[in-house]
Amino acid sequence: MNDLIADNITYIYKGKYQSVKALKEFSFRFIPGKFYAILGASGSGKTTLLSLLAGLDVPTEGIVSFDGLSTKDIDRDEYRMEHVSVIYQNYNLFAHLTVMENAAYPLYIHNVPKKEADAIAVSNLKKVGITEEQMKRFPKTLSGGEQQRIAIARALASGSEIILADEPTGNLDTKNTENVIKILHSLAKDDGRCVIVVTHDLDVAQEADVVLKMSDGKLVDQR
Amino acid sequence: MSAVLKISLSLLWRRRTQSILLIALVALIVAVSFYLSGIAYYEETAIEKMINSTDINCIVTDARGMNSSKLSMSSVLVQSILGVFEDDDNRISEFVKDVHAMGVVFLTYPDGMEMHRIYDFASDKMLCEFEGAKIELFDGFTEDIFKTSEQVCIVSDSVEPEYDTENNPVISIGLERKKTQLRIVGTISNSESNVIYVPLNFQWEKDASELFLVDSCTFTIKDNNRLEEAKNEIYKLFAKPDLLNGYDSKPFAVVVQDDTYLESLDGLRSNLRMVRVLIPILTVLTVAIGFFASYLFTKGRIKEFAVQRCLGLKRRRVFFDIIGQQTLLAVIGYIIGLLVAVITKSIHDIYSIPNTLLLLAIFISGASCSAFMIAKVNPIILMKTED
Ligand SMILES: Nc1ncnc2c1ncn2[C@@H]1O[C@H](COP(=O)(O)OP(=O)(O)OP(=O)(O)O)[C@@H](O)[C@H]1O
Ligand SMILES: [Mg+2]
Repeated sequence: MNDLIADNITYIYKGKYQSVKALKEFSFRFIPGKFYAILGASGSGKTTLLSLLAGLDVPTEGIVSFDGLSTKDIDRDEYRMEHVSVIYQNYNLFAHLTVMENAAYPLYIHNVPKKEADAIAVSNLKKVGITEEQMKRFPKTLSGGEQQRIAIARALASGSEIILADEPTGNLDTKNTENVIKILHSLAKDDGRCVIVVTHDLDVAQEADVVLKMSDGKLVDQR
Repeated sequence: MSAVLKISLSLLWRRRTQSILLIALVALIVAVSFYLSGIAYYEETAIEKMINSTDINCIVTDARGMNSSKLSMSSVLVQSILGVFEDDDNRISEFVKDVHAMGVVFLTYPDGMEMHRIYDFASDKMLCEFEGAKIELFDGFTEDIFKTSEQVCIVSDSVEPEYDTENNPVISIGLERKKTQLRIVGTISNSESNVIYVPLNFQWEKDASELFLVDSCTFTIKDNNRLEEAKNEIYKLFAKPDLLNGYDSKPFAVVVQDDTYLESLDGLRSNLRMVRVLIPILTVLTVAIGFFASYLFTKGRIKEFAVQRCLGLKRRRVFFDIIGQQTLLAVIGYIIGLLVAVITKSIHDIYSIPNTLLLLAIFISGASCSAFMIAKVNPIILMKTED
């Protein structure tokens, strides 16, 4: 139960002049409480895989399913709102919302009353080491590492079982990287979430329970 | 109020430069539209007023359009103008009003007297212009008596009346072998004492219709909206004045004094046309501005909408969120534009309000188009685009 399954998925980007097969018959079962790292050369299909797991699109062939239901059959907006959170390399925070509002936004969407939502956001932000003073500021006035931690706090807000991160440490220095990975690791170990991180950083992969290697849209190795 | 809505509203404030720009744009459009419809309204009323209040005078002249005071024209023509003949196929009388006509007859008795046939007092210049001439009608008589064919008259107060059996003042007149007694129904002080005034259609013998000559005749167009029709009818009976040709088939012409009227009307109408052309241009512009303004303002936020979508916000909700914000700004802009119009007094008729509301709706639908495009954003782009 609550497993995230990629079952023989193929994904084709249909262009005007040519189509690109970004994923080729990829299969894997992701289970809760584990920290996965996905490695692979540029263009090997990592981001594409993450997009499909996040329910941003459906595979051309094969099935992505969560909790036994194919993403083709469910309301994917609701799926993203309830079960998946995505963390990006470039943070994608709302520039005109304060740090706290950013972290509380998924709850606003859930129609949680603002006060309640803000309280949850504050506790999540504290968990990732953001100070009360920083919470009132706008994201652009904070460092990259801090912004990525805010993005993580936002991902925590909706309490989703799956956390997907696409090169979350790509823009960070070693110290911040360690910090972020520690948090992600604890989300898997302590909260029992399914954490999937795409990375180029072998140190990050070191921390993972399972490392998947991709090449040319296929899963070529796992450890 | 939901938290998302609260956030959306505070975002409008945090992005106030854009918000104010959009508001100002709408306010400008609305104010200009009020201004234009104000001008249109002003022109329309001016035209209407001009049509309804201008008297276009028509003067019967000789065929060359020169002489208008010694026509020696048959009374039949005047009677045609007056619509006396029921079976006449001429319809001038339908189109004209204020007919004035006069004819002078030199009497043989009393010797040296002139008899002026007049249709009303205004028909005889002497009667109107004569310094200090004051007409006094006896009890029971009005000027309308001159529109009949009664054997009555008014005379200078220096004339000694005779009296008939019922003690009515009368005067005896004669022309060659025709003799009759006229009842005096009024007097004129300070007038030329040798003139007596009788109704235009005065009959020497009762119950006998009689032709006579008319020296001058003028009238006015009844309804300027039907000026062309009226002229058509007039020129069926009379010639157009023509200096060179002299005699047309018709011996008399009518000068219709409508030059200034038509010129001013033309001016007003071409102004109105200008304004009327500007209004659709403004409408098209509004659609374009509505579309591009909101497109430009939201395009910079496309990533934000993508994040919202990625966080699970439905496309529909993103769309209405954008529209809601734009509508709010547009409505504020509308109100400001309306206030500006009120302050600058450019609202002349309330019918321009629905028009500007329509403009507002057009603006919002332009904005909707762009919001629709923006809301279609595929959140996958977030995975790709670099910051
Ligand atoms: N929108 C698109 N249209 C067409 N082809 C695409 C599109 N996005 C990605 N591709 C192609 O699909 C393949 C996989 O791309 P993807 O972004 O998944 O790679 P990646 O493993 O994330 O690479 P990187 O490490 O550089 O981020 C690539 O060959 C890429 O060129
Ligand atoms: Mg990638």
